[in-house]
Amino acid sequence: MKTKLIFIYTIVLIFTFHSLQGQKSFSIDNIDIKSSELCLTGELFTPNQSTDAATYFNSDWVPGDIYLSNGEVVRNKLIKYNGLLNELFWNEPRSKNAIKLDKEPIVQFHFQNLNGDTSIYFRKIRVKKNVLSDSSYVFGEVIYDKVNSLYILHTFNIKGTEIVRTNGTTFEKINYEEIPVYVFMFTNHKTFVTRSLSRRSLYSFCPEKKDRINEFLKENKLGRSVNNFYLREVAQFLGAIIN
Amino acid sequence: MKTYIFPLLVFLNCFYSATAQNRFESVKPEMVYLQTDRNIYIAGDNLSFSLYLKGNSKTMSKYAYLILRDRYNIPVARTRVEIKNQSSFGNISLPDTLHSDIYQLVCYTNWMRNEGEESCFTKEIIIANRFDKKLERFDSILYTYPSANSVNSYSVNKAGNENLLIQPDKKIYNTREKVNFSIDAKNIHDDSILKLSVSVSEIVPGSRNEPFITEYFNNSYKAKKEGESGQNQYKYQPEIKGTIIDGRIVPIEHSDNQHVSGNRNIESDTINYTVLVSTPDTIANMQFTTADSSGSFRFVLNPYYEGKELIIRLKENAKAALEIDDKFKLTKPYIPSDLLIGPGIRSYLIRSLKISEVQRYYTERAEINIGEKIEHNIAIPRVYYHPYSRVFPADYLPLPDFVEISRELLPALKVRKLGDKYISSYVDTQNKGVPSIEPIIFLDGVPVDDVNQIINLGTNEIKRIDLFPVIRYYGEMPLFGILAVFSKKLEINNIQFKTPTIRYQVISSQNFTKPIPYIPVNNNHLPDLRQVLLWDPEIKIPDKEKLEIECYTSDLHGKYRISVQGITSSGLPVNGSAIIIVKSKSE
Repeated sequence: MKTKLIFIYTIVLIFTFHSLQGQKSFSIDNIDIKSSELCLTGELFTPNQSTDAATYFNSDWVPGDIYLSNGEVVRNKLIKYNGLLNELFWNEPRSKNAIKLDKEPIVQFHFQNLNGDTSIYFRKIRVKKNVLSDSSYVFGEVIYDKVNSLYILHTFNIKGTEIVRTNGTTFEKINYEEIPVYVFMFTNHKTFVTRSLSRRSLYSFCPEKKDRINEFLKENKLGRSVNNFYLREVAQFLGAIIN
Repeated sequence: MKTYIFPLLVFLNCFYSATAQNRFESVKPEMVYLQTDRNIYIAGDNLSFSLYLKGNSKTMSKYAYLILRDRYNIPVARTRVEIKNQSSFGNISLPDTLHSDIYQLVCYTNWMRNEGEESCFTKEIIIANRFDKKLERFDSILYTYPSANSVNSYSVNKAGNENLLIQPDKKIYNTREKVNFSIDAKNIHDDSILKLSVSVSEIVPGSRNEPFITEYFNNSYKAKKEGESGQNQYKYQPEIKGTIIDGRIVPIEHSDNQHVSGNRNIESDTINYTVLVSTPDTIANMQFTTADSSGSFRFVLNPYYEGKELIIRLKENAKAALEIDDKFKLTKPYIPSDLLIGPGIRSYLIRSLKISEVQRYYTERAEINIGEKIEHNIAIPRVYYHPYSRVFPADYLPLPDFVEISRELLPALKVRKLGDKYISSYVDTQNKGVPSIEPIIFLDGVPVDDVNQIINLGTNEIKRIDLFPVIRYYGEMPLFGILAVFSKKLEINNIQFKTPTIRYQVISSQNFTKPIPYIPVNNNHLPDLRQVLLWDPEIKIPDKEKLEIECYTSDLHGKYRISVQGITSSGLPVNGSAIIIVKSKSE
């Protein structure tokens, strides 16, 4: 009986191979085209001083996808983002050089897997950071993106300086601390940019809705740690009171 | 335990088959079918066509190539059409200088070229020149044009495998009467949307029936299955994502054995040459690829270059020339058949010429309606976005040449003479130990060999200069500084390149076009001599609905064929036909 079964299986297997071979066509993956490779353009990154590793969103090179303005996606490139410089870097595979990519053609980029998180997207947005400066393009981490959206700008402030001696050379090292900036964008084209999500800053956003803000903060326990879940709730709430 | 072994083995087998099937998402052979609004034209007419493509819907070609050639294999018209949802349509304007003869329409995709020219769709048409009154080419038995009553004098057989039901509201119509007919798709065992083209045209006496789409696709598919050669090497790739440019680097033999300094011998070289592609523009643009060890190269062209003249050149110098594959090249000679030449053709042509003559007097040529325009999300393959500095030489005192301009206006750039040649380099760039590497120089958006090619350009010739005194990367290509010069009078056209270069005109797809449908005007006393009563190549029937279509008869009595052909979104060819008779009221 066992021999018969093995015999039948062998026949079925041979038949399968035969039918597959009979296709006489080849896999689309075999189409060898030096594709129109959308070329990433940028400048060789040669800073005067070594950049503080703490100012990078990801200190190691991570595979990511870069979405371009023409709708194409450049996939699987080693990238890292620096919040202090607001620059996206690409690890050019041949020379292993860090290339500071031109921002103009980039719409957004995505880290495929950053410490197990596959949902990290950064999008290029135009914001006016303060009253004095002109609006400019920055990469903001996408936290909430539905009818309204919330981005975090990973900006840095100078915390202090220290004298460091390396290889016999003494120099002044600047220490930075990350100050996240929250950018809320609403459907009515209103933008709310804030460094703090305190009661006072929410009042300043919508002074006529203080009661509802109080109610929200009471329900959501003011003072709890600011995580992405809380930020999404804030974005939804602000969207509800503004629209 | 044993009882589980067999089901397990069968399951494993099925699983393997399924995964293998998935892995071998095949690029099936493709087939093209072309329907034209009629088979006989007068030189100067518009030939309207619709095209259907059968293949794997996921890996289907985006473009089809259409050539109209004469018996001497000379193409008299050629175009490229974009295929959308397995179909396309358009027009070919027939030159009015064509001599009276039989011509052949050839249609194919780049992928079909692997199967040889035999696999291309071919169709013969007759074109008569309006000044050729004798039409000696069609000197067969002079046949009196039949009256509408002689039903059996035409080849009006219906195709046997029709799966669309075409029902005109009546069989015989008067001249200038409304014709209503329905298209019924209830026999189609497929739930997908039907895309159809409808033609109502006068039947040409004596001509044989050509195969309809269903017959053609079924027969061709069988033939392909039988004739499969087991070919594993494919010379031409399917144009799924965009235009594919194939080319190769061909070594040049120097008879006088003269050695050009710096030139490499491609035959003995093992390096992979870099091929640069760009077009004259006000933006420095470039696409590049690498040739393989045999000197062949291939790339998907950036949509920005569609319809433009390309300058394709090697980055490195070599004793070679570049050859680009001509997608319109047909090598097999065309021998006209007697398919269209039967008794009565000549008299029909004479009549058509007279009709054309009258129409030229009284009516305007049928207008062509440009339907949905083909639009691509075009991004210029820019080499840079914002230069470090930009100089407009006209803002300064006039300078005679680029040496002076660099000295006076471009402090970062050094141009110096070495022997009888000039070399350029940026001062204090990031070069770090490689200061002698010249920056890449663009003239009118196109990379040139070196600074010697622009050395004679002075203030009067140069519009603007962009400078990038830093190392940049364009993809994986390092650029040791960029100097981009834009001239006032496109000086790139006067440049002689030192490296092998070819200028290549990229053909762009024609727009989806169709003639504007005829709408009758009350009390119109002008003659209406239309031989094509209706041509609509973009009819859609969702959910097997019955569709009512209307058109109007002209002043010409005779027999007309309603021909409906198309394809479902799942790739099933469909067709149907009906015959109507038009009589004048007095008959």
